[in-house]
Amino acid sequence: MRLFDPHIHMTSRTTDDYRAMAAAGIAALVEPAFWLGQPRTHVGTFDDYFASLVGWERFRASQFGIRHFCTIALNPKEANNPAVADGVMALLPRWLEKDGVVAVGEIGYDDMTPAEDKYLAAQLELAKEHQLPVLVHTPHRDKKRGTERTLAVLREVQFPEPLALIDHNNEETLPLVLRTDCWAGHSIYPDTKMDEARMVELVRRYGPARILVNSAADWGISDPLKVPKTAAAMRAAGIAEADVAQLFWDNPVRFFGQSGRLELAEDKPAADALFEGNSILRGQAAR
Amino acid sequence: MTELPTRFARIAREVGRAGAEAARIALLVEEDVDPAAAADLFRHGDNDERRAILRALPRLRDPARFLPLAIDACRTSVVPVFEAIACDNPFPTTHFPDANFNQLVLKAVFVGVPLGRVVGLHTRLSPELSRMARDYAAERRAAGRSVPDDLALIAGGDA
Repeated sequence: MRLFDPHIHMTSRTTDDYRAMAAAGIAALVEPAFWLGQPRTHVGTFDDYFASLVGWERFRASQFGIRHFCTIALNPKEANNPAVADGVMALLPRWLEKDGVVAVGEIGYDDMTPAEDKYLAAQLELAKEHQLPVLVHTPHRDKKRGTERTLAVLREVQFPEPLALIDHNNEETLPLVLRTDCWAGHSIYPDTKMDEARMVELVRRYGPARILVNSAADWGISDPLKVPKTAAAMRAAGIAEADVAQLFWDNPVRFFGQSGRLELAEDKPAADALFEGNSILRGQAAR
Repeated sequence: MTELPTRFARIAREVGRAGAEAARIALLVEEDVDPAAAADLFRHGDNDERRAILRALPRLRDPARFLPLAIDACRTSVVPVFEAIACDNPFPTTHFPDANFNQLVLKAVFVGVPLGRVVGLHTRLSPELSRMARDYAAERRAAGRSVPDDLALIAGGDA
């Protein structure tokens, strides 16, 4: 079965990871723009980072037969850095126009500061202007309050809830999200956040509708195979195959498909497609 | 927003992916982009946009102005972007100095791009390119690896 990891930071991962992910059935992924583990001090480094998300990383994934999509935003943590925040906001409109950019994200709260309020609201407006969904990070600390506040802000600015994916949920925040029309993401981590067994219990209790599961693997202690491992745990626990398919493929495809930019079919530009029909030239291939 | 960067980025969603490259090339020609504008679009482009810019170079006014961009593009590790300048594109054979052209040809062999797609290769054969090809063949043999057939096209005798 094809699997979709709707949140993974591949710039931090190796080609061994790509190979293992492809072998485990991952056919598509979304890489949200986020922070790099330490603060950036120049706006230009964001320009280069966004370029790598729509260029180099997309090519790296393609070498393993994985479709790579991304989301672009000023992340919540660096929204608190006045040296870069406004400069990054000025870069966003250009990057948000790219093919394969399937949402504005990660946006949301980290410390729940006034600066985070300001840039969350501004980026919700950007998403409306660019007709994109949003991928919303929820804080590690004071998570329940942060999630409530996030949902309240979405209502205040009348952001269409079906276009919002609220991420990193747990037992306490999932019911809050499901009471709205937002989608709910879950990050399966080795030690923190959510784990496979607890995820199975959540699906047993709430069903598969509007629920997404991701690895959120990055440069920290994390596991890029958590999506296939959680899918296996679902099957082992007797979750119906149709529900597993919905959770690990249909739901992310439906959510990010709302961008109109989730091109899942591999297609080549016309010039090369023509060329590849020419067997004479092909015969000269070097390997 | 109908500025050039926005229109350039959006084309595939307007005309479909199959016609996107041709439409992007037409837009660059129509806008008569200068080297600074082309470099800016390239730096901020995704892989498809970068390919279209490189494909457009021979059709732009006074193409020699775009030599620095074309040479820099050869440093990419994204094979489809490298192919857009190295393959089926008359720009390198017309404008590249020998050192850059030789590097392009050897890189094509390295990444497995057929040399038959390098336009005008036979007009740019040189003793230096032959030496590079023979040295590369020797390096491959010393490592116990296969020697790419295409090296024979540039080695000027036995590879």
